[in-house]
Amino acid sequence: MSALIEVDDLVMRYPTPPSMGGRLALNGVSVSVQPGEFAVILGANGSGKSTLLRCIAAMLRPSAGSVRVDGQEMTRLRGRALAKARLALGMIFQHAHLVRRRSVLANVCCGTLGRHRTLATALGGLPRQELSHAQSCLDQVGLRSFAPQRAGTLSGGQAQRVSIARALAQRPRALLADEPVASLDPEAAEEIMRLLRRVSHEEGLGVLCVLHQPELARRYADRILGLRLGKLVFDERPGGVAAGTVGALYEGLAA
Amino acid sequence: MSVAALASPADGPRPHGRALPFLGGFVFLVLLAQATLIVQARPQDLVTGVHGMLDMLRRASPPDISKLPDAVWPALETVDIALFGTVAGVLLALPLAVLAARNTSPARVLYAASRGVIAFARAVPDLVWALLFVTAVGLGPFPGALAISVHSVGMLGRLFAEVIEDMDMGPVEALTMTGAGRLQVFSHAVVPSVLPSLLGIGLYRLDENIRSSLVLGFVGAGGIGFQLLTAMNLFQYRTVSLLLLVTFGLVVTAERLSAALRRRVA
Repeated sequence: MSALIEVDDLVMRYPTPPSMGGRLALNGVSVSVQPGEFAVILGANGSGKSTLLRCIAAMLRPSAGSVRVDGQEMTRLRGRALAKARLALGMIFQHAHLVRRRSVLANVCCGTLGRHRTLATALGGLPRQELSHAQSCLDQVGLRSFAPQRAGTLSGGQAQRVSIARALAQRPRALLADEPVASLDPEAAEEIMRLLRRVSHEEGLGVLCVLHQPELARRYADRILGLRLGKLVFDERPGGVAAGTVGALYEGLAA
Repeated sequence: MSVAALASPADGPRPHGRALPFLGGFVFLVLLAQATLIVQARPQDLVTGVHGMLDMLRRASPPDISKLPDAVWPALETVDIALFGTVAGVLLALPLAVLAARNTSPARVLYAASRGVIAFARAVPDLVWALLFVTAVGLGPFPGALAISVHSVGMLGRLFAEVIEDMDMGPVEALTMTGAGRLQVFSHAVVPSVLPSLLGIGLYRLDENIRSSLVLGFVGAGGIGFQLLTAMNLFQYRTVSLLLLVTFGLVVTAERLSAALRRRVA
């Protein structure tokens, strides 16, 4: 079986600081995520976690290596072709990034825009035929009754669930989540983690999630990847990861 | 930001901590002294001129109510010059502002060009624009409306661009990542985020423009200002005082209305 997300020997060198020949953020990282698998990346600040996600989503262009999503090579795409390839990838950010003045349902429906490139949607209209699909995505995150409410009135946890519904409305094959619970209280964080695991297992989505909480990773992930200074130091099932190994990710970095 | 950075270089030790405020105060006093000389300020003239002013006030009261019907049409003209000018200004400023905002501008050349157009439209006062348009299209309200709209493009373009630049880019990034197109991202993420601010700024501009369109009549660009000038030249001070009352009513009403509407869109 071929993997949904396949990262091969990825190198990312930021141009700054130029005096030191740039900063090496990723140094030969290879990762693969299967359909229905919930993989979590752990690592200290500056270990390259976010850079990895951004390279996979082609928000950044890696210096070397390849990224394949659903068989499609991402690193060389531009413009329309890139937008099309991104349909397979749902992205969830630390903050929900909703349009606060629009309704919850409209926000979710925006996830389907990429499939409906018409004049009406370009001028701000929503694809009407997708409204019921958007509603069912809201159902999946348990916020059906919030559909007509303004997105700006939601709590942090609710807003993050809506952003997951928006990603689901996109009908993706995989989800990328960049610290999705970093600004939520513990209860809301648990809720988001349960939700991500459920869509991964029940909908067969490959989920790659960056976290700062080793303990949450241990309880929810199918696989844990450890990133330290731009290198992958382990890639194992949660049971196989010893506490010391995780702790080593964060040690000796306070420069 | 850059000004603040210049005023206090970092948080490091400042060797001239005492001298600097003293020097600043001295420079300010010198500036004030030369300004007083240049404007030939003679407060005593105000005292000796009291007589003339009282005389003028006596000749201006009571306001000539019988001239009110004649003032209705110019008043309407004044309001309409402002209304037309503001709407045209908003419509022209919107696309310019999108090009002139760093985060939405598609190309550096367009950014620089639109910034230039906006700065130029703003730098030339509306009264000067009115003079130019009166020469170009003749006397009447239309050159006034044109002047207002061009000057508004300058004022609105810059404020609109600032609103767009201050916008939260999160939703833009999120929608781009869903595979939506540029125009879709613009209309679904940028427009809903900035629209209320733009409406508020537009309403404020309308209020300002009603005030400037009052003055535009002085250079022959129609409206109540033209009437005011004529009455002044004919020494009809009772008509002048009536027109000033009408003007006052217009300005206050416009201010109140614009403020009330802005509260509703906020």
